[in-house]
Amino acid sequence: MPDEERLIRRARECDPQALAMLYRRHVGAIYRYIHLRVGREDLAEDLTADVFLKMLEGIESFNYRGVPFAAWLFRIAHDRVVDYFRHQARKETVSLSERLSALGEGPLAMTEAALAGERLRQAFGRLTEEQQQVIVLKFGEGLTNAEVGRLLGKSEGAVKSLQHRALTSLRRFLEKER
Amino acid sequence: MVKKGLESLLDESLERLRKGEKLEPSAEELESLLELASRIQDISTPPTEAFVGDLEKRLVERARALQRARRRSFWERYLNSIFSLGRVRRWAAVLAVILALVLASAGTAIAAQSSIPGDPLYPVKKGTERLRLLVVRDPSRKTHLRLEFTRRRTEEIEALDDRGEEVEESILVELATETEETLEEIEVAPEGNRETLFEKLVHLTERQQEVLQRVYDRVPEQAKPALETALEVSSRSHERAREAIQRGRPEVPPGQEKKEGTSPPEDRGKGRDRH
Repeated sequence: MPDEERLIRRARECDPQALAMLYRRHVGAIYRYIHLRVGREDLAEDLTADVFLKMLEGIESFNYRGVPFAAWLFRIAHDRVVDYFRHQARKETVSLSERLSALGEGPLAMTEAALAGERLRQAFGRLTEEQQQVIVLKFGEGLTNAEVGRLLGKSEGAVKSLQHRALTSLRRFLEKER
Repeated sequence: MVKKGLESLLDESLERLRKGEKLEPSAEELESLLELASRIQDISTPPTEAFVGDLEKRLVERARALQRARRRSFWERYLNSIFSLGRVRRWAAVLAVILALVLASAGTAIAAQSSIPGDPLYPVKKGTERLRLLVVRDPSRKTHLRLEFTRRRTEEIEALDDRGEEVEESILVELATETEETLEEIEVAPEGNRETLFEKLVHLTERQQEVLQRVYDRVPEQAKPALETALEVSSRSHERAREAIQRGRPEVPPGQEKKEGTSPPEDRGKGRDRH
């Protein structure tokens, strides 16, 4: 992706325009990924902001020839989410039912939908990092296999395979929960 | 083989769903995977436009601050290489006296002050300026000095162009850096002086932009990005100074202008109606 390489080179010099373009290109996927993991809009916004501020601090040392830029951003997002959960676990132990009751007292159907959503989020969190990235880019951002492959530095076949493994693993995790 | 078959079937089915096509009922296993994909789509929400816009603004501001800090650290390193910063305050007075004695001799001082980049006495002029900035402790005087030195940089570019000499990249970078630093100092200057300082900066940046536009076609190709940056910094500083002046003045309610109209018309809106 030579265009992205040029943008990154400019962004490393702290060029505001290049940074804004890179941000616009990836903010959707990163936000969706974090939102899928944490399930709360305000929290997803805070953590997304952290990711891009970290991107700004770290871009000088980013090596384009190593991991693709999108994968690098997903890694920062993953670490940030893990940090958040670790911190939460130390602070308090909140059970699933407590989290659901905090969502408000709606009709039973709403609570059931929230419960199903929460279970799906938890199962999503158990996938490998690569599987999570493919799921977000394919079903969240609606990208094709070729586009996902370009972003993550993988072949179309590898994306297809990751997608299948991700969905079967998700189904397995959800079945175990029942 | 069976796994490969399902993998492809799943992918084809997902692609058809992505395009909005309807699917015929198929194998149970495939259906459950497709349903799962659809549930993920349902709970995956995009960020709001307001959030995306706000965060972009924060990022751009942070990037600009980082850029400024980098430029500043370049100058600090440069100064450090000339003086040991830890001792600078102690020795500043002594150095000032020595430098004053040197400059007092014959026309060195005068000649140095009117020198431009490339002249043998130009480093003396720049050295004196740096020393003056280091010695002066009063923030208000320091800001006035910065304005004065930024004005000098602008005039130097004009003088180089008049002489038909090349305006080098380093001079343009310096102009942009000094303009930005001047703006930053004015923004934190004591309130009493701020408006006057902003007005001076408005006039100065107006002049700067005229000069930079004038030399645009004559600077070497490799210096063009620096010139564009200098123009951008100048124009941004101009706008920020004008906005600050406007913010600092009380709004006159519509229809009341005439009741208060004791000042001559040319004074009204001074610093506001430029551009």
